[in-house]
Amino acid sequence: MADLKITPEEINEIFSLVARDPDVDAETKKTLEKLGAWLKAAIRNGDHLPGIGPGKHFEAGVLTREFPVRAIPVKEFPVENRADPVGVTKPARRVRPPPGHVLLTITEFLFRRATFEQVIVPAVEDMRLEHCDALVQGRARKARWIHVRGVAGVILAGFLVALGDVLEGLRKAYRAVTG
Amino acid sequence: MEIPRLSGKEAEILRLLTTNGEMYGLEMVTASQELKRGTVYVTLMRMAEKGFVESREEESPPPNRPPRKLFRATGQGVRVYRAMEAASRVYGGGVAWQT
Repeated sequence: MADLKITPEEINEIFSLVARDPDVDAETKKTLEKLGAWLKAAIRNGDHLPGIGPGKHFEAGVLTREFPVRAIPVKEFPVENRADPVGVTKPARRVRPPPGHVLLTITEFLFRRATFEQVIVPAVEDMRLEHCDALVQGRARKARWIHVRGVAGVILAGFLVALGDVLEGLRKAYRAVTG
Repeated sequence: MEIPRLSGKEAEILRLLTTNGEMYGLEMVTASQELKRGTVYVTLMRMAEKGFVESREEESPPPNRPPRKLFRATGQGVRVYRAMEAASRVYGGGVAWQT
């Protein structure tokens, strides 16, 4: 914690984020309110913390020493940039496309329409259904496995259809030649 | 005239559909040990091309998911399955499904 540097502006940003977060419990909010009042006084006086002041940083270790605050739920914040552990500058993208989104886009171009509609789309929909069921049960690992298995299955299915089409073409050609 | 052929997976699908009526792909996979997620729709597509099964979209799906594709055996599919089943019985299980 000694190398973590936070500016007063970032601390204020944390307070505002915590205040808006419905998941933060009342005790944490109360603790943070106390910390906020203490920080304001420290910033006003200027001499309570080393290096304190607009645009300057202070060691987070000082905070925990001076004020035994309960763990600030920094990890619960959306962190996109790992170099910015506070994670207030760039909130992570929370809405993600469903599994199989890229796969559908690619296979739509690769396969003929009948194959895409009758094989690829239902297989991806089944994968999404199973994926969501696993997530609802809180089984994130199983959901990931379903995603990987589903993608592999769709690729295998596409390969089988393509192979079948080639063999069927060869069979027809052979019959045409041999009569 | 070309004699209809039935693979092991096709026979399994027809068995499920003649027993349970309409089913969707994932339902068939979970109900059977032989069918796999990756290949069931390929088999169903081939069977539809041969005229053994037909499909329709679910009419009133729940609002949280898209409509499923329900499959059912056609008259031809049922006839072929019954014929293969009868042949298998007559020959004491000696008639293997073509794979």
